[in-house]
Amino acid sequence: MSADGGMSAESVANKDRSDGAPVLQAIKLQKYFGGLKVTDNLSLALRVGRIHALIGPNGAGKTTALAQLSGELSPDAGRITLRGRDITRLSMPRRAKAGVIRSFQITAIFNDFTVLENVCTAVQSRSRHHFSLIRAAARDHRLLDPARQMLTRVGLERLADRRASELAHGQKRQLEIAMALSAEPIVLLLDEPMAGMGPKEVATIADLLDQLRIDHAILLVEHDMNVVFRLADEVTVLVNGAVLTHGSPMEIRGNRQVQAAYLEEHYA
Amino acid sequence: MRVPIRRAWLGAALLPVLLVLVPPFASAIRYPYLVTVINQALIYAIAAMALDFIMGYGRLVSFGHAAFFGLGAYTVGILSTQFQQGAPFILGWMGTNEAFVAWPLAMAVSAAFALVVGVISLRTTGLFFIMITLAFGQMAYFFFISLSAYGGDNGLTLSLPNTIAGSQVLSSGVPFYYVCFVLLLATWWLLRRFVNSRFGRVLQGSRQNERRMRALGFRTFPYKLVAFTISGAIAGLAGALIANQSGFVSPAIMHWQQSAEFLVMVLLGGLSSLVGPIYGAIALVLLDQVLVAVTPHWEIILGPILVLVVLFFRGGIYGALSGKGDRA
Amino acid sequence: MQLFLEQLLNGLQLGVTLLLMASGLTLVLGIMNLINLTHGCLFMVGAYVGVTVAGVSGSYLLGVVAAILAAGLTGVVMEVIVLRRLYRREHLDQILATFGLILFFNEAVRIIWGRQPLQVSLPGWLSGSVQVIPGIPYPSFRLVVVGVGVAAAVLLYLLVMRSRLGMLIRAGASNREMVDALGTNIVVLYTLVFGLGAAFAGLAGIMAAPFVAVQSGMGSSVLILTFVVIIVGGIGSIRGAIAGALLIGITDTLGQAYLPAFFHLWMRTSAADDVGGAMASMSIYIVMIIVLAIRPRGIFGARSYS
Repeated sequence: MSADGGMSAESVANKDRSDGAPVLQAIKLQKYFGGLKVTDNLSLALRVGRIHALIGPNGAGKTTALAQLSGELSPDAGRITLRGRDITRLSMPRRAKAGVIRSFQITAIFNDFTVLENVCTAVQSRSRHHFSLIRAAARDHRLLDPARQMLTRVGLERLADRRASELAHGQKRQLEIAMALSAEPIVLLLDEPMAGMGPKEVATIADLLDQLRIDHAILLVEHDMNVVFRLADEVTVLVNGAVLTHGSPMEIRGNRQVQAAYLEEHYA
Repeated sequence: MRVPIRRAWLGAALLPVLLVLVPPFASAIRYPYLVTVINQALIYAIAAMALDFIMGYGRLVSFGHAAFFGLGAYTVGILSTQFQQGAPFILGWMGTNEAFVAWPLAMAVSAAFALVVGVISLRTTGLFFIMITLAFGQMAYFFFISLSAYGGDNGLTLSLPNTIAGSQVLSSGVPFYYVCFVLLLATWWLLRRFVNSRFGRVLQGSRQNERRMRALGFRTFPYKLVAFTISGAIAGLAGALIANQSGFVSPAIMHWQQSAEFLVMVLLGGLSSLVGPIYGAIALVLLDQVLVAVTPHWEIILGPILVLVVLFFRGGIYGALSGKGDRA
Repeated sequence: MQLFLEQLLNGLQLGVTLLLMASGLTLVLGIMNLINLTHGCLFMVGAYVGVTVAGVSGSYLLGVVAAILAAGLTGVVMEVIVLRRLYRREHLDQILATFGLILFFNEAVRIIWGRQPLQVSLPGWLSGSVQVIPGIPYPSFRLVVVGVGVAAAVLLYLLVMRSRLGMLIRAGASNREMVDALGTNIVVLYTLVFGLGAAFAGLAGIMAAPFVAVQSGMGSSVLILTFVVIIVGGIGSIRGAIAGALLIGITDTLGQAYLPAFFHLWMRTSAADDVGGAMASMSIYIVMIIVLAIRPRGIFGARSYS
């Protein structure tokens, strides 16, 4: 259920895709930590059907930008809109309900739950029956069926009953993505989803993102340039909190300034 | 680590059987006092289980649960006193001595106070939450000390225990024991359902990773508040029972040391298990009895035992019985 | 008006006692992240040892020195044997273990000194009264307490805010790895901080001894008050401890003095006693709730402690 009621997430996505207008838009965001400017006049737009990569050297403010888009931090100036509606002051849970879902750079799963329970909890976030106190959640097929499907989709179905804390690092990252997807996002904000994964897992997730692109607007914060250049439709380069440049992967690859910014990092 | 199913089951299922057998056993060895002692433990266990519900599954360490316990006891005490005096109480009502009225009211009063405390203290977390619940508990304690109309410092004496549908059945020890036993089982069943429901998932999820829950679109505050209020209501029920058992209510049962004892019972028995607090309550009450028999200065032994339990006996009694050695 | 000034001085006196208690406890909470319920026991140890030594030697000053040493030493021993094992444990474990220690200390005091409260007599030069404000005689001992308390607060403030030790303490509160990296032995530093806080608690105990019943369990009510002070002021903050101690000390004293009279203005006598008394003893908690409603981390609180 989307928070707007009436329209299903899917039909909204169809509409978004047909008119090509940005779903999520950030306009001139500014954020200070004390005297330090961590986000400097950042504007970007996410559209359904496109993966927008946000790259930049360490400390460029990528995660801070993502935190503002997801509602965990609020910007000191600037606006964020979701389909034209101003959501700048909306809290993180409310934004999530409206379809803006993030994943975390440092894996954030529920360690004491099983893999299946983790995903069930995410599925549950889309339903309206949280205050059901008596019915056993472990036998609730409205949670279990979608959760098992999702596990199959990310390739974790065989580990469904394993405790989440026992998973290998890459598997935890897969679970993280499964949870984000189970919350039925329209906008997906992914913070280095492939960090620490092996090549096989990277390929699985890259294929998955490729499919997801069709009906989601995706922001991808990623360090691995191969992944970025393979998946992204457009790239924004962030340096010191400000946009250095923005363009297609081809344009970015040839950009001298970008190369310099990354070289600087290597020699700093 | 895989827990052998049979052993975990044993830790939970053996207990009710043993508890049912306490009164016949006591009469067989001609030691009826044992029923009183274990009965007291059962009542404490209800309150401690309510505490484990929010602490073990929601990481809400309440250091003021004695206030809800005491409020339930005072509700029963005040209603009964008014009833005996025959004086109009509230809106011309004379009070009551009927358990079916007084006990639910005790739960309602405790729940209402828990709701207020929860609204304010659940805005904070961790250390602040512990300290604020402590302060609310002390506030309630001082309130009843000042309440001279109902005995102030000296407390209230209940001339008769509550009646059940007009019958005086609670005045004898064994029926009262089984009433408490059934209520303990009911509490256990209910809280188990809560923990395993969708509601419980949200509660446990926010214990493990609050930020993740918020990122998934859960506003966790209402869940915690409901859990806290339920816990307060159940502690109030335990209070109503203790008033009946001791025939006496005083501010002492709301003192912060009583709150600390509830924490001891939960940790000693095993956190996040619901069954554990039953073991914890029985162990603490029996330990008290044994040590008192050994020396009038029994606290000088009990204190270091608690320290050793914290340092070396993690997982509690239930953890040891069921093989879940280290608690999550 | 005169009475009001006198009550204000009384409030100040309670405030400095609370400050002596709170400064140690807030550092332990803020730096070691330890909920230490035994801080009230150190207060009690200070009072008992101080009163005993003062009685035997006939010198109150000697009693004060003994109180500080005894409490400080007790604190250090306790830290080394038990408490340092709890720094990285959960708050629940800390509450339980220190609660166990409270039981131990209260009973030990009963065994050593018996159940009867101890009496302390003040030397002649302290038992008179002086007129600070013309026309208002005020007990000199109470003034001395305020003076010593203020001096101790200043000393502590300088120590924490200005000295190298203080710098390490504050750095340790925000980042213990960094202090480790500086090559300072953090274990020794912690023991030192703990001993210092314990000594202050002992001083508070012997100075409060003439006004309260010196008996087993006397530390418990002052401990709860101290926690309220720390929560109101902000955990780990010396400035917060000062602000909180004064606010709570004065609120409590004025509340006890005036709230019952206030309710007598418009209620029946017996009901006014009840309500006034209840409100007076609850006033500090109400202040705490108001402060937290406005600033959930206390007046000078910065960090969230979870």
